[in-house]
Amino acid sequence: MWSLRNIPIRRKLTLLVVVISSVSLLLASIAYITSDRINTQQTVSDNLGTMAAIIAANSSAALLFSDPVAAQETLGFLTSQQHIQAAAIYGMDEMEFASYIKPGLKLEIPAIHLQAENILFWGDYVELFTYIVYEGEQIGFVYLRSDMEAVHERLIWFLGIVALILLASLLVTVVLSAQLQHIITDPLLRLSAIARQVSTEKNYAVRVIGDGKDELGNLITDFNTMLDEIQSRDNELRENRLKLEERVARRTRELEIANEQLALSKEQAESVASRMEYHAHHDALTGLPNRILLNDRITSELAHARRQQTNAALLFLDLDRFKIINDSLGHAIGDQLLRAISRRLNKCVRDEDTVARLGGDEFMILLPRISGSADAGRIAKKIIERLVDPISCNGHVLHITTSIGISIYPYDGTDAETLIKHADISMYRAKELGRNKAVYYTAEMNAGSRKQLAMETSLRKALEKNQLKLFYQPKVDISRNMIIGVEALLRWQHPTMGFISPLEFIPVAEDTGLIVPIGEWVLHTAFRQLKQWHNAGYGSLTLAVNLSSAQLSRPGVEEVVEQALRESGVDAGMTELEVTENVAMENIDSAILILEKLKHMGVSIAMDDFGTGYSSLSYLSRLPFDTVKIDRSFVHKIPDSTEDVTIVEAIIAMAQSLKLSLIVEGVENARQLNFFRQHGVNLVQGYLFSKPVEASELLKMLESQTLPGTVNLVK
Amino acid sequence: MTTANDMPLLHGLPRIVRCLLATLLLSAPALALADESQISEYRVKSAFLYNFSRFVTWPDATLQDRTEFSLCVMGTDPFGAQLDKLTGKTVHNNTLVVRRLKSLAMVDDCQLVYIGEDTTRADVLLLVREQPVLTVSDAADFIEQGGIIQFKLVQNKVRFRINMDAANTAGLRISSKLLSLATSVTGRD
Repeated sequence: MWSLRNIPIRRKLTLLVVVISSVSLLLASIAYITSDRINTQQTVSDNLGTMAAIIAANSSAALLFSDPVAAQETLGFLTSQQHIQAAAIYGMDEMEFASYIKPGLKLEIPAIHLQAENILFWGDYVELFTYIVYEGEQIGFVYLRSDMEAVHERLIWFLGIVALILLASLLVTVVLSAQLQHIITDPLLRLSAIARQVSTEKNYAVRVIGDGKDELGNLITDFNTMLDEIQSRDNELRENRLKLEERVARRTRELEIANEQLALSKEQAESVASRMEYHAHHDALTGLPNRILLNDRITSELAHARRQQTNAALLFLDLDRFKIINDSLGHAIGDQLLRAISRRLNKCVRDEDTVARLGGDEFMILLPRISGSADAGRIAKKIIERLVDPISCNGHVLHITTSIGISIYPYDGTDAETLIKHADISMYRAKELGRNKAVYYTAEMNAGSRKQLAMETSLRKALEKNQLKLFYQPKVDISRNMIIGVEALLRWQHPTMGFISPLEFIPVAEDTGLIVPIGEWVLHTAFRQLKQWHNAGYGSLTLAVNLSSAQLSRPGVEEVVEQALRESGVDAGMTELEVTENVAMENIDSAILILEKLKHMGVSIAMDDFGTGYSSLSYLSRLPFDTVKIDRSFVHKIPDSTEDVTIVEAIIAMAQSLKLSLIVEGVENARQLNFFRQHGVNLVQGYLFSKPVEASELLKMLESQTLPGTVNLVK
Repeated sequence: MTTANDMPLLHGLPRIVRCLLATLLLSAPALALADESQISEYRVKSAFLYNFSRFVTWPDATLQDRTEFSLCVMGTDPFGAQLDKLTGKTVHNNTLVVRRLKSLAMVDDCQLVYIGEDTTRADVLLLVREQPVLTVSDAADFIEQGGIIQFKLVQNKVRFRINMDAANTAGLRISSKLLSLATSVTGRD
């Protein structure tokens, strides 16, 4: 379809101007013609009226005197009036009196119209009726009929003129608008041409020429400004692109090189990463989850238990006497044993349970979603039973047991930390109860641990407030019936709690580190006391001080001893340090080192509680002991228990063969005394002679050479 | 339009037939019915008397002092009641009055005098000579006697002759329209 929209603007402008001018001209013409027609009709009507008046005036006499001939004469002048087609005169009797019809026309004179006095336009002709009045008296009528030719001719004439004017104005309009439209279209065409050039050639350097101040001028200025902007952006972009391409090329090369290197290391890195991930959460030795992973699992299982309102249990395992096996048979065997135990533990639990190794010989088992505490007990019992079976390692048949502490969520705690702590406490309780046991946590244990905390606080004060005291138990040489030395024993006289056993507070002191200052205090006090006795004239008296495991495992104990010796001025040869078998065995290498140093200083070393441990003789032989002390637990049933007699006889034989001196403690009656005398053990310590006493009392004993016991020394 | 309704029967006929008919209708009664045509004739003539007065101008002095216009009949009255119908009409602003004169004595007070057959026209004319009195008569030689307007039947139609000299003598001015209708005008240059 032909559309106005698609024709060029200059055509549109021309068309617009032509249409507007034509319409306005046409309207003006119509108005003029209409007005002229009205005027013409008026003129025609006036002319006819005048003519009728003339006829009326001229014919009045003829009418009055009934002279139709004369009347006819008055119409005679109409022959000169070309436009009059017909005329007639009527008398008052309405009869035609005279008439005229234009020659060549076939018309009929109509009968008189009574309404008279009017003018009627019939298109082709006009009719006029009017009265003939003489001196105010109506005496007849005039009828006139005229053609409209004049009017029509005039109209045609006007139409012709209008058409000519229209045509002329159209021509002028077209010519003028064709010239004038350039004012508008030229800038537009320039704009359009430049825009097309820009889009096809991508050439942003071109500009549109134009300096008008109208809207088009502004448009051109704006367009040029836009081109400026685009050009500068384009340049920028091009520069940036070049830079970017250069950079990309450089980076690509670098990347290619890096990729080659990376491809090589990637596989390694991945495997390392996964291995690291694994190691971060697993124990290297056993492959069991470690403490970190265990804590995660505990946390998530507790959250689950909280939601589902189920129970969960923690089992804290500590292998009994593993250290001895590890130390005596070597780490390799110990590691194998740990692996074997790990496998057994895993077989004792469900799939959803977690067996973790916390380090050393400590294990923790998480039992989620158990129906009650009895379930945990069953599993603990199963573990204990399974571990009873001996394990073979490199030809060794090893017996191992474990102590287990159990805490149950939510009864024994609702968070991981509390549950672990309570399981730990329960485990220690199991150890206290004789090992190879599983013990549920109870609130009392916590009370116990609170008591321990209270004790710790008290112990710190005890040192400051001199609540600690040393008692001395005499050592008697029965062959010579004389006190040859003393063993210093620590006593804590608490102001409210009364006498507290070293068995109770020494572990607390060891745990808290208070053992260090306490140990120093003991050494200094005892050595000073010994010096006093020496100065009092008992220069052959020896003094034994117990070394705890904590003291022995810390470096620097030899310096403390040396300092105490120097300060007191006591001869090192008069002093003896007693070490329990287990203490020595816990870290045999450092123990040997320390003991060697002490021995080198001249201090004697005694093995306390010999025979209670599991130490093999090969280890014993490596330790630099001078003396072996037979433990009171063996002495107790002597001589009635043949088993104990055998053990003690073996110990005596061993000591003698190793050329170690022997001393027996815990001798309470004469039969025991006789037994040891018969077996050549001359050094005896026990209630038979004296309980531990204060220093002042001991001096009295020395002075009187009498002992408070049942057997008196014989001078 | 009312043309069709009002169109008389005659209009449907050809013009020539109409003319013939009109001639017959107008002439036949005059021949066959003499009395009736005579009445009709005088009816026309009485109207003519009135119309004459309208086309004649009297000297200002004649009509100024009076309110009446006297139309007088001397002698035999051929008009009868027809003439009385003119009474009350206005002539030059004066009311027309019809007077039938018994004697000549009153004649100079008339503005128009019809002089009948039996009257001595010469006496009357003598009396009104140089008086502004329009004299009218049917008498055949009336103009020659010095009368101003004389009726004359032409083809049975009432026509008239005018004596301009007599009118001038009387001081009357006769309209050219009236003159143009007269069958003859004497004394005109």
